[in-house]
Amino acid sequence: MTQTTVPKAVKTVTGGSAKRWRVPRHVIVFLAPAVIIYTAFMVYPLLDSLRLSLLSDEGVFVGLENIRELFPGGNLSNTFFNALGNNFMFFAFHFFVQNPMGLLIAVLLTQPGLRGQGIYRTLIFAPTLLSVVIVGFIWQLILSPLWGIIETPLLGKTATALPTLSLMSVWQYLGIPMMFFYATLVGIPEELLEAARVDGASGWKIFWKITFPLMLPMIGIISIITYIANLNAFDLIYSVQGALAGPEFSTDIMGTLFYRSFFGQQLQIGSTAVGATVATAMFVVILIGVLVYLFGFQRRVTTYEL
Amino acid sequence: MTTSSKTLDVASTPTKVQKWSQKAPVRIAVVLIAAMWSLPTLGLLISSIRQPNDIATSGWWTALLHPFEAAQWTVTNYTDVLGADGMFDAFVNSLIVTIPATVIPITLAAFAAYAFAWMKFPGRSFLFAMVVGLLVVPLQMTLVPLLQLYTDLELTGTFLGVWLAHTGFGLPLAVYLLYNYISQLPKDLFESAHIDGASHFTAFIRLVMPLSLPALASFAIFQFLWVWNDLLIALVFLGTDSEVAVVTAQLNELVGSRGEAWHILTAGAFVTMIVPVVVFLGLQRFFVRGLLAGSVKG
Amino acid sequence: MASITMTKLGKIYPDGTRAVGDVDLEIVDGEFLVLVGPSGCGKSTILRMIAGLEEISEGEMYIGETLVNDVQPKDRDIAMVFQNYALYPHMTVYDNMAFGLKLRKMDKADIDRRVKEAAAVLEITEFLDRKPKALSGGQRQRVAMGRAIVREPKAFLMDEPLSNLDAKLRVQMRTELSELHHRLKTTTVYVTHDQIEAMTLGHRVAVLKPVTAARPDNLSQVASPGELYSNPVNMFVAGFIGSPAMNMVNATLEQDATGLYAKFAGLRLLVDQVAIDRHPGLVERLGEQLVLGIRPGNFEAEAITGPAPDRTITATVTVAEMLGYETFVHFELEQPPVVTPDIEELLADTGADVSSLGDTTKFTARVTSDVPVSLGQELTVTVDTTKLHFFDPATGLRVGTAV
Repeated sequence: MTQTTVPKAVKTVTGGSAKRWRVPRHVIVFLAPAVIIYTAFMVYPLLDSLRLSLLSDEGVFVGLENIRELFPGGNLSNTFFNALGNNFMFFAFHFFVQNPMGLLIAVLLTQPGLRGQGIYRTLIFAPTLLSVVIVGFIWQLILSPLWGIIETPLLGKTATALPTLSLMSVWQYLGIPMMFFYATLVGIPEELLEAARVDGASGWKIFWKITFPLMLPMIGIISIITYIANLNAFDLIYSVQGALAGPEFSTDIMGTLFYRSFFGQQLQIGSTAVGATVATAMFVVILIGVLVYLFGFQRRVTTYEL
Repeated sequence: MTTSSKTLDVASTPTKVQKWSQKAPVRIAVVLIAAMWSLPTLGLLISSIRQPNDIATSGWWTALLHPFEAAQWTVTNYTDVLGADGMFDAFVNSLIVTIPATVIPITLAAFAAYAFAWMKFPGRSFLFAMVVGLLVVPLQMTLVPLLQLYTDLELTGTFLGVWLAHTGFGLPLAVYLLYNYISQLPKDLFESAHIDGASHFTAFIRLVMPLSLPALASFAIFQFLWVWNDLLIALVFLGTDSEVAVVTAQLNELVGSRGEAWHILTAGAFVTMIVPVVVFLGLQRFFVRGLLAGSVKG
Repeated sequence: MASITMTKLGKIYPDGTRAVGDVDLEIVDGEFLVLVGPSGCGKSTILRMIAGLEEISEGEMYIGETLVNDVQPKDRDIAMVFQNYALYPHMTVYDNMAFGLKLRKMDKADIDRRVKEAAAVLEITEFLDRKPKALSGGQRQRVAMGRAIVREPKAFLMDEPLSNLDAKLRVQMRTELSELHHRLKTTTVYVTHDQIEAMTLGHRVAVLKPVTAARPDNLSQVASPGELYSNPVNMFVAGFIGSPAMNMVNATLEQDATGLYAKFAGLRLLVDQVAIDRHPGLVERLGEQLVLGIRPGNFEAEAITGPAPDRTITATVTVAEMLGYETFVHFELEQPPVVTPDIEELLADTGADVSSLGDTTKFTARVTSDVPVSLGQELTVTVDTTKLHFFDPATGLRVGTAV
């Protein structure tokens, strides 16, 4: 029974046990464990990281001093912008190579008359199941300058290291956008495409005028997920190149920069303040991207009920 | 029936050959791509049965040039792996870490998702937006304070610590996916349960959980794979002590060994690969469903 | 505007199942032809073969004078209306309708004129700049029609366009379709499983049966609605067309001084000469087991018609359904029901099987409501014996039809 004293309509199924609670007991039971852990592991650290980025290593409040270090003129500026630039390059490879390829393959796999597409799908998706450590290793076996297919040490030269790593990552994760696109393509009713055929459209026209527009929402979602995941990246680079992200920091991205700053390594002691600051910067960059997506893209593209 | 001369409209008559040749490029392209995506892994398999010396001195494809030279093949790598250098322990550790780190978040998220979907309470939308919105937060942002917290609580290097960490990080996505699924269960179901006198708890256990199996299973795959293959959290919260190191951390150590222990690495990598592959193949049919569960109505 | 002709049309799927066999159909220019039949009878497949969306396995298809077996749908100059409308969700109604015309590189002014004209006819002008999801089912259906009309094609192909509408809307759209066809005079091939739609819309109706191993051809009968109703060529058509369905009972013929009688369930009916004339060779089948068919509409209460010796049936009413202007009276005859392959097929269409028939023959009669009828009452009904139908139980064909 709903208590008239409780402002919002609260239905207690077992009857009247809500008394003066603003929130009925069962809601608390259901939500509490998740909310507690969530607060402890997401909310608290988030706020605390923000706080730490405003302090020095000794705990003295320094305001925006740490953050200023990251901007041009500060000590860390070059390092930071190098990592940021590399990160965007890393993202660019995924956005311009991985995702379009994923779309293309998904389209190929939905062509009528292609048999065994389940097998192809699984094969292309398989690398996503691997640990990045294994992926790094697999490619090192192939690309080793000593015996590999290419003599130049791709992972050892500053010009090629990042692109190579990016492509390795693309190789690993291609299956994911492919699967999403495939699932979306399959969800487009056959009738729509038939209607287009009867209306007079041929292969390409059908794709550009019907299929692609209907896929835009999913393309948007995949793009922003790619953005977030890439700006978060760490594992692959760390595993293959180490925390120093060599050669000469050419593969340094924000994730590795953070790790190095916080935990330190041979030449540098770890700094909580710097680590927290870098982390905050990461957060801001990602947030900006997400907001741009939400207001620039998501608003304009409606998802259609098919 | 008039069967006299009819003109054949030649406008765009694809002949049988033309149709076939339209399909061939597609097939070729797909086969090529699938090959490019499986050969590297195949290379790992081949490496794992090569002599240790060969692995770090020549490419695995050279072994294929003379496949019948028995001397170059060996299974010692596999036997070594099981005994060597903590690989077996690492394997067990990975299981110890991954299974609870999958089960706990799913359970908590299911409860929470149900609450968000079917219970009314003040602040529901806000709380939900917060949970999902923070999906955007990078892992790194949470590491610093968490590590400090853990050190204070002496949780570093413990399994409990890692379970909690993975649960915390996995919750937002879990809640989001499960919420999407559970909120689409038919309202009539719950209404008739309530008329029958079921409490929220009963409805949850008896109706929601069984019906949400596809969503639960697909999230389980995601979480399992993510935890099993994770490196960062394992490194930070667990460390590389052989007692607690998981497979990924252990393999990472081996990679850094620059070739001396690569034969262990090949076999080890392959052995540990089996687990995620088996999990995936086993729960495959839930996977595509899970992929769509959160996105289409976006 | 064109005729559509198919000879020995057949469709076999790659896995070997046959959907369509040996269909010969000549659709006259400007005709409204309905393909009707239960699910799985191949009607949609035939329509799609006309459209070019399915490959033709056997036989030939002509649109006009042109053989189109290998011609792409877009070059066949036909327009299709799909069951689920298949409107492009991301385009406005205007763009949906203009799509095909734009593809053909038509002049903008012409496109605009055609779209606006069609919209006016279909009364959807106010929706032109809305997207499909903002429209109701009926409105979407009109847009789908509009998309077909603007093309001014040689033929309209419609695949159960009214099935997704609610009953009232369906009736309304039916009459609109009729008017539309009368105005445009475009050849139309219309697929439906609803025999009422078939009868009310079609100039001619083709009744189709699912292909079976024993009988690999689908087409039962092509004729005008009236002809199908009065002279169904086999038990399937007889039972499929007409609602409520034709009553059927096993009967034998008996001759005595007063005439030819049909005997069943302890009753006899005098067969009128008109009926005898409609079944050549009927008299030779004396003593044989035949199937007698009587349409529910060919009954009337004896209280209304007056006494009619040898032409009545008296039975206990099991169910009485009052419809206002008439009543459906259901009763049973003490005789096992008719079971033949055609009957089984008709049952399968409703999801039932032979066991649901029970062990008596069930009859339905339509009588005017002027006569009060109640459950359990003994009622006597008069049969119009000029309209009796006789079928051969083995072949299912009407007596007197050449096999």
